[in-house]
Amino acid sequence: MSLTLVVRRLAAGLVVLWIVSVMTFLMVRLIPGDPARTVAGEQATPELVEAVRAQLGLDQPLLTQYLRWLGGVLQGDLGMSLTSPRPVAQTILQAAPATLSITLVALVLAVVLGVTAGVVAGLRQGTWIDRVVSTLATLGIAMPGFWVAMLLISIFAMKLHLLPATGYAPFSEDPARWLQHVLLPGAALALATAAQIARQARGSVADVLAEPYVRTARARGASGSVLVRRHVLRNASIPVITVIGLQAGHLLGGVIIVETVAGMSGIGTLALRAVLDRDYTMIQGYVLFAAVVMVGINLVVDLAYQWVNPKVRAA
Amino acid sequence: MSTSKTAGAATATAVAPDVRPILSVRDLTIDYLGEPRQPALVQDVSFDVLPGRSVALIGESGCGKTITSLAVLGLLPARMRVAGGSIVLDGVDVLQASERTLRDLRGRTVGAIFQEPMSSLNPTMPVGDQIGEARWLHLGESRRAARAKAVELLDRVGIPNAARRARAYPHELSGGMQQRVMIASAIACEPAMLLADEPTTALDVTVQADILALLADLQRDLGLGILFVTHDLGVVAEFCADVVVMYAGHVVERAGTRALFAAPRHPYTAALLGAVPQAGQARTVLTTIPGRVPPSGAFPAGCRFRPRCAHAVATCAEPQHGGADGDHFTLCDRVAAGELTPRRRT
Ligand SMILES: Nc1ncnc2c1ncn2[C@@H]1O[C@H](COP(=O)(O)OP(=O)(O)O)[C@@H](O)[C@H]1O
Ligand SMILES: [Mg+2]
Repeated sequence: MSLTLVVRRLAAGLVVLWIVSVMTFLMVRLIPGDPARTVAGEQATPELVEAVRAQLGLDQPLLTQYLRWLGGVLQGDLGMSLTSPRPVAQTILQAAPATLSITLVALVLAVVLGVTAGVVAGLRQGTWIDRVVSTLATLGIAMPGFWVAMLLISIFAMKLHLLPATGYAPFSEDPARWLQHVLLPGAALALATAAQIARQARGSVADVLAEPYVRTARARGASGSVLVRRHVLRNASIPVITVIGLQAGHLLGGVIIVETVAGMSGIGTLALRAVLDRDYTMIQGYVLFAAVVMVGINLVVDLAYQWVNPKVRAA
Repeated sequence: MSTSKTAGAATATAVAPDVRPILSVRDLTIDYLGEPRQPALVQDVSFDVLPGRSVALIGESGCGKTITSLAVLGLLPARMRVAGGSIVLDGVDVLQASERTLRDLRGRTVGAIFQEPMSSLNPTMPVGDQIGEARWLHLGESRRAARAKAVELLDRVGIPNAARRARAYPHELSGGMQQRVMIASAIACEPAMLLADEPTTALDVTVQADILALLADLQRDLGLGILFVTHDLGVVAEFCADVVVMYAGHVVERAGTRALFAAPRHPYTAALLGAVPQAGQARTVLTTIPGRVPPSGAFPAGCRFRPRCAHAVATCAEPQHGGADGDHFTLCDRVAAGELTPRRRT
């Protein structure tokens, strides 16, 4: 894979981020409700509201506001929260590790479990193991993540006392405790995604097994693990990677509820409160943060996709 | 279910009896157990392939040519079962052989090339690796040695810049090049026999000639016995010593090429030959015989060509046994009894 390709993808990602920045900026300006009034409080006099507006720069032309705002964003300054005296960037960075930990653990679990189950089922179509996998996959897709989280917590934390029920411990302080805290919410979040990945992996493996090139490989004597490793898996992984990319976005949405159930104060909790409080700068910060994470994930998925698929590599 | 019985021992090949066939198929019968069921999807198919010679397997689409060749490799699709007969490949009974033995035969004793070179090559693997694979699988060569050999083989099948092309992916090559790659991969271990299932059907006419010339050349060099599945009667005439004509899973006629072209004995063969387009048109069969091959699951009893045959009578619904005139076998009882002498249409 060429370096220019990575650079090109990176540039495309930056363009997306720029568009998101414009949209988040405008969103806050165009949304019903007056940020200046929110900050000043319900009982504020019109003079006070105007003073706050001037202080926030909201009386400036839109372009000036945007450029000033973007300049701050690029230096890591997302402004102050409108409802509490805290900088948005710092608040988000404090909340991010818990959320990202659950998401990452969920992603790893989902990929490992989903791919393994799906590939085994695809290679053994029509056997009991195939039926077990597809039944579990249907279940996994049908069960809401928050409910799974409650279930797992009540079994493994409340009843068996194997893992803590709530809270979070930073990885840097105690990796073992970190894992104990993120395992249950991570697993709960992973389930539906693992099920989707398993379905796709099973289907892809089944499709690839029916491809003429697999027959060719068999006809030259390839079989067993040589056949699977060299001819089946790589080709079957192409659509699976696409699904993983899409699912990563779902994880980021699903984590909001799961972290709440698990009693962690992460990004999701933050975003929820910001929306309820009309804390526009905080919402902006959250949207930008989510966009950066998504663009990053897409970049990785894109590069993985091109790495396995030589047809896209050339383009 | 009909149980026609071909003269199993009679083969079309008239050569010295001490030349042992590399492939010997006898009374091969294959059932399809899927939906709709078709018992005897392929029935009583017999033929021999001798070293250094080519046998053509012809017939319209859906006549069982591919299934027959896959059976030789022990690679029948799902729900296809061999119900009877034998396949002996280089002295090994394919139908009794263990999966291990079959694996050792595939790619080592018999190479295979298929109709669609693009879909028959792994899109995510450089072609050189695909060609070299049989070398390390069968000959215990290192991957590195196999890769070097792949370059040699690419050169051998007429691909310029072989060292660079070995690193190319299939989609980076033209159809003709892809088929050359398939050929290189099939002959990588210098097999005694080649299965070529419509190797030129998907290619441009000009490229077809090149591929055929290459196959002829390799056959001479390696003494390959070739089972040549084809629609192209021109290829049969030029390339193959013997012809096996299949219709809906039956061998309806089997003869030396010259004898068959001079005097086809089965009404289906006569119709096929009559249907050869004139020079200048694509030399493919089909289109001009009225009606079509019945789908699997709906094969009629007795002579399966009966619904399309201009000479069909009531007795054609009985199982056909046919008969041989020397090496020239036909499945049609009326022809064997001398009631009927099909003429090539002109
Ligand atoms: N994988 C398969 N499953 C079920 N039926 C098949 C399969 N492949 C071929 N057939 C059927 O078997 C018959 C013979 O097919 P095939 O050997 O491919 O014909 P040909 O190669 O002569 O065109 C056809 O009726 C075809 O529909
Ligand atoms: Mg075919």
